[in-house]
Amino acid sequence: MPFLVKRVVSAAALVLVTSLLMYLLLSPAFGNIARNVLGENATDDQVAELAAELGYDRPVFVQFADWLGSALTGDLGRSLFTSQSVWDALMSRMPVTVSLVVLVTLASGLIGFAMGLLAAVRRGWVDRLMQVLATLGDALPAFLIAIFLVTVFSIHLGWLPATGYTPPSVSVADWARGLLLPVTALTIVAVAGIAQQVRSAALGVLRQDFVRTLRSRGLSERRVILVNVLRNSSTTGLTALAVQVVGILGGAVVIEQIFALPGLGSLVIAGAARSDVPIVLGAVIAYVVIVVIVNLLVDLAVAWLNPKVRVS
Amino acid sequence: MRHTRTLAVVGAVAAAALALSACGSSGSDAGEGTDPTSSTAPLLVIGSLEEPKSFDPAQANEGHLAPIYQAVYDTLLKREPDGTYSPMLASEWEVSEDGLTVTLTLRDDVTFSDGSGFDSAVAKANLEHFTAANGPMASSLRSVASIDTPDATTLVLNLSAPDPDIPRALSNAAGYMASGEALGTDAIVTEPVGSGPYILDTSRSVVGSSIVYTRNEDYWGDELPYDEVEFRILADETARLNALLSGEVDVAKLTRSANAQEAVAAGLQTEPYSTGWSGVLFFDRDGALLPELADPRVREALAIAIDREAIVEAGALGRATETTQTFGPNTQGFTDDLESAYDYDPERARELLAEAGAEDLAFTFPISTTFDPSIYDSLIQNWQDIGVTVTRHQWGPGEAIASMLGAEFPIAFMNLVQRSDWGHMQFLLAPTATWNPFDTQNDELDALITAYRDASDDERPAIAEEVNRLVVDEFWFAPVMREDQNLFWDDTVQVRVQVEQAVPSIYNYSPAS
Repeated sequence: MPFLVKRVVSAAALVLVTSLLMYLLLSPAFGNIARNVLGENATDDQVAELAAELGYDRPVFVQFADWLGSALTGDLGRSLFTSQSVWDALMSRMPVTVSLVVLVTLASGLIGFAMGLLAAVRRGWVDRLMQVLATLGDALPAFLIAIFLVTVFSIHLGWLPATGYTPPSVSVADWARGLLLPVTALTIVAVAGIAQQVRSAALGVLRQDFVRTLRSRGLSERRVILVNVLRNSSTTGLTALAVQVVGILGGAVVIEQIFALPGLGSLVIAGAARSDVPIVLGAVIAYVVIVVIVNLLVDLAVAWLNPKVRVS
Repeated sequence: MRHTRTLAVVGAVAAAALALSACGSSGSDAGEGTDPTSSTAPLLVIGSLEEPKSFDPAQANEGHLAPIYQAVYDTLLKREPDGTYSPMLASEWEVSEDGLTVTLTLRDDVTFSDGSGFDSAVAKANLEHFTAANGPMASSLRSVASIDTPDATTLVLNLSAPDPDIPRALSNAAGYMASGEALGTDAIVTEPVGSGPYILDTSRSVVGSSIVYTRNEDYWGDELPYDEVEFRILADETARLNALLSGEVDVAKLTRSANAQEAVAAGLQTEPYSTGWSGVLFFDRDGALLPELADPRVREALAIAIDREAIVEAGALGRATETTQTFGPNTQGFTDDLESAYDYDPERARELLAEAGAEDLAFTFPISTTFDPSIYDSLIQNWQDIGVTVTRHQWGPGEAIASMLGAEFPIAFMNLVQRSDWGHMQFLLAPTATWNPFDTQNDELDALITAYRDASDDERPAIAEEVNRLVVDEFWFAPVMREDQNLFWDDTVQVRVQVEQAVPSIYNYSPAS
């Protein structure tokens, strides 16, 4: 079966299994939904009326089948707490999270590769410094870094906004300013793992005979490192990057909360806290799709870089 | 050569970063551009904990959501900051002597933002829609049996029983009046059509992020000071605090005392006021789940074992007032001597447990993530000190209220709004009260509640005080404190706090002179 078709089918299966699992995990809270929607001022009769209307008292699998049937026609329902269509919520919030994830991925990829390569080539104090920085990046949680950055650059210096998101269609400069701190916080954490992997891979490549052969043929050191060593190390680095993207997605959830970015992360936190079932399911699907696409892109990139793993 | 080129690249990146931080608008530095000689200002930015579920007024709620709805919808009556009522869409109103008829005279010069007019038929349609739509506040009109409209400017509410809180309801969610043509449509969920001082700017409002209003140039009433009002939705406390400290919002409320201290240290302004009480609710007063709790001596023991002073210091960092009554300071039932009806006395608490034969008292105490953990630690330690075995149960997010109102636990700690006297009785004390999940009944209390309902305005204060005393003497609750509302604002705005409301009404803001 062609490669892409196989990936699409496995992605669909993943979405199905994940959404069912999420439905089951949320189900113990179904009894609270009507009361949470109406609040403490509503009478018990009002709560019972809404509960019957929402239908969360039906068997879980019946509810899930109902939801699945609607989802397959493109109807993901509406938020129980904002009345917004789930599809609209996802479409409006996806660009925010994607902006964040793409920028962090690019930044951490570029910086991680550069750091790893530099450490492997220069060794000595450069390598040791990189190890220390990588350890710090691994140890520090993103939210702590974010709080530090906000305190310094937003509150004390007033250089950058503490909260909010401006779409690039409104102002590219404001969009960039609004994302600079969140991206920095996540990049610091993500770059550590990538740099380490690239360093290890580059060290291995540098020890290989073909590198000595290329040097002996008179090729410049820059060309050897940036073309041959980098290319041969990139498979490991890209794989590490793909793993980091999943971590970035997870980290973005907390970062979106701290910076009040209206992305998928803050949507799913708010939804999970109040059992907004349609929103949580929709967000989970969105996350699964993002991860699948990222992994697919990495696989394609690795195949392009390394002929040995190409499939026809 | 290589180092020079590297430095040049680094320098360019740094320059670009600085350029990005310098260019572009400064975002919403609210308060900028305020003309010091003018009573108007271009923009007010309010940090909001919540956003509305729907702009259908039947789905409106009170508290934090009040100013969001008030911006676009007028109410029949207006509740002033001190809790008194004044005319709004109704220029006058009268309650009959038997309390069963409320007659309102409506303004005849009001049009909605879609050009349609306001009259008694529209008012009636709004009230009927409010009751039928099963919104959060629908029960506030449960006493209304029917509505008559003898002419275009007269609205008559016929009540099934006297309702002391009808004026409050008509100044609150039930009183929001939407255009008769928009009412009941799907569009009103996202596009409100009211007669209020502002109009929603749907192009600049983003669900979950911001609600932007622009001035209604055709507003019938006195214009409010701000040309635009933006509600910045900041559900996360850290984000809200940062937005306050960085000046991105002019005013916002904080829920954690530690964050409030940070706001105080940053020089933000605040005014102490409380809207609720925090303490222990002895739900199971008839002993259905916890038989020992039916004995008032056991409830008294648990109440006097609580070191309120320590909890105020540890849990609220001193930003609260100790109390032993649930009625609020602005109610008729409130009385100074019930602020400290009993003292912290663990020895006497042990004696009471022994007298009641409850030395082996044990119960499960639910813990909510909403409140400072030190409060629970203090309560549990206080009770363990008098020999009670307390087992913790951790509620997950969104579980607490449904669990309490579902009568799952005999005792719980909660913060509740201090309503009007009648509201307090109806929501907390009556046998069918929402916050009386075990339906506890007390004949004397029931008689007092009925008497309050049927009494004249002059007679009510004494009855309310009797209700308060009975509830305190019977230890239905063990109130601990009234916490200060941590509302903070910067020096560009003046704020009047609103009695019995979590945040100020939209009418209560003006530029600082």
